[in-house]
Amino acid sequence: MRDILCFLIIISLFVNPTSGVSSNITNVEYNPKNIEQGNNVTIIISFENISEIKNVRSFYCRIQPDYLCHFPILQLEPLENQYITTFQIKENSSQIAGFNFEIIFNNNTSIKYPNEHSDNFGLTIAEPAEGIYYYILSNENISSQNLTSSLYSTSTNTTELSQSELYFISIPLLMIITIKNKEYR
Amino acid sequence: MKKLKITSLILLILITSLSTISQSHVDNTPTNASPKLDYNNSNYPIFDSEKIDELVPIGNEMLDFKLYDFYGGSNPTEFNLSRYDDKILIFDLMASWCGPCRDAMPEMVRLYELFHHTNEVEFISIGIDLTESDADLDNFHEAYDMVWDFSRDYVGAMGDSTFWSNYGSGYIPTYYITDKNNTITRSEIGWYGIESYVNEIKSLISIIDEKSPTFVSMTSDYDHFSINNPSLLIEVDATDNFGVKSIIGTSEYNGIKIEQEMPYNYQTKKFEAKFKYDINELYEANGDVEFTFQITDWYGNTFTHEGEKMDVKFIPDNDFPEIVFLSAKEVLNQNNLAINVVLSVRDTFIKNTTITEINDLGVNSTYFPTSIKGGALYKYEFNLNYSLNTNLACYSFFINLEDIAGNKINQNFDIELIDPSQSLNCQNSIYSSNDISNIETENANESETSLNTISNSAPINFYYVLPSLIVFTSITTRKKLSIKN
Repeated sequence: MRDILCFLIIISLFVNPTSGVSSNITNVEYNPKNIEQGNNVTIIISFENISEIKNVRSFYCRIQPDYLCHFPILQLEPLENQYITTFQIKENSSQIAGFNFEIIFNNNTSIKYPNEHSDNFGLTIAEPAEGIYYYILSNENISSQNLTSSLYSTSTNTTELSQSELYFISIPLLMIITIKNKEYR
Repeated sequence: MKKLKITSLILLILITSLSTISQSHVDNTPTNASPKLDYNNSNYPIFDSEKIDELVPIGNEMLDFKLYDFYGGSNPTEFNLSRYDDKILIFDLMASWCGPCRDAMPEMVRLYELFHHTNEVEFISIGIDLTESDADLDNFHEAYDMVWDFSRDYVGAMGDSTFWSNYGSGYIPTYYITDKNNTITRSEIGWYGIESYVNEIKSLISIIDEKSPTFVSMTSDYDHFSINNPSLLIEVDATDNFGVKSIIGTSEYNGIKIEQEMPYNYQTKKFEAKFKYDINELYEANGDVEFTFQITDWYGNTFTHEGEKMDVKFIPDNDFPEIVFLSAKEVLNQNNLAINVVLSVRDTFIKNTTITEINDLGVNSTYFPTSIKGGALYKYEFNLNYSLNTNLACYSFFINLEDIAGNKINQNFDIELIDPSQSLNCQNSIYSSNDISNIETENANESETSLNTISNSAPINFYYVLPSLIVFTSITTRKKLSIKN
């Protein structure tokens, strides 16, 4: 029985709830880090591999003031294991811009980033409308503290544990404790 | 062994279900499979940073367009501007992923409800992003109950970007209003509230509303007033031939008036507000709450509805006051010694508190200590004075507490003054000094006389002990298991 539990522990280590839906994104970044109106900004989304990805679409919006979305949308181009796009920033120094993106897989399922489960990859995230999240494009003149209360900015620490990651850690621990307790008996 | 198997099984199910839950945010929506569409059509516009944002200027004539009904199945109906001849037309360019488009939609729905019944106003929403799926647009349409014309720029997908070239602004949402002669009277990027749209349509429509609005009904979540819920959520339904703009509600209860604006709830389609009452005034009162509603329509006509009554009753929570914390220390107070007592009582609402002390001269004195309330806890702090020449071994006081439900407790505390010169002890002592964990350390201003607090009260300092108790229990449980092994 102990062997079975050990087996379950090993299995549970591989069943990270976030990995099940992962689009195997390894990083999301933009350059330059501090943007100004008229700058060319490059968004780079890195993957472990992109073979299962059909397309990546990015939505570039002004978060505040006046929440608006730019249209047409940004189409990202594949380059090795990355999807990349470059565009010119339209927001001025008193405005905050952000972007999010949707990955469409070959089987026509899709996933949006960022979402409530996803990593922030060291970027600040805002939720100006319920359930719609954006990576904020930083502007030195406007820190995350300037985001109004309708938005929120997450920690830029990527090591912060999400709820699913806590489950991921706690389940094997729970099982180890169970085994140990049984041993005492 | 059987239990172990069950535990393993439960854990396995838990792991599997967690994985499933975490995957639930994947959109399994199929992308559009319509044979007419070509998302890779090179004629369709792509994001252009250099593009100067332009709207069709106000005063221009609306250019004709060719669109298809979104819900036309495999052979959707084609239509153009002539569908809206002699109509005021409100149309917007949107996409399902567009947050600001979503934000605006409840007010768009209300605008439709206000004016569509006049047969002078029509609405159309156009999904402008050809790369999003029909399923996403369908979900958006359903979520907001958009009962007006709905289309997407299929023609653009077929390579004709005329529609986008004519009406696209570089942003979404974009809104246009035309008059009955197809002249654009408003073109705007972004939604800035329903009021300006109402005013715009009012200026174009032939009907003038001179009728006052009317009150329809009032509902509330009332069950009873309690300490934890001394408020009423009031919903008001009112009607007008062009819709009600605002309602100001006034509640009068026990001589106290509360007036507040009642915002429109886009989900219930009623006006609602929570009227919260002062618990200090509430607990003695039973009877009617009377409401008055001042109802105003979008044309400025008002109607005041009075005399709406609700018979309400205050039902206090039935818990007895409980003394949860007591500390006593001896302090120097104006050349006399005093016992400084800090007492915490748990109750939802204490109505009366009296302290009766019997001092060293045998005099009874009664007074009413003040308290600080935090949640359901009351904190009292007071001094019991006695002379330096006391020969008492015990110092007694009574605390009498009554809450608004009429629950009373009368508790006696004997404080034993430990003085080697005294041979007497407290006769009614129940606890030894070891039972009291919270005697505070005396500081330089305090007398060196040691003091024990003896009480016949129930648990003291329970909250400080509980976490330790849990930790201790878990440790001892573990130790027991070890011993068994």
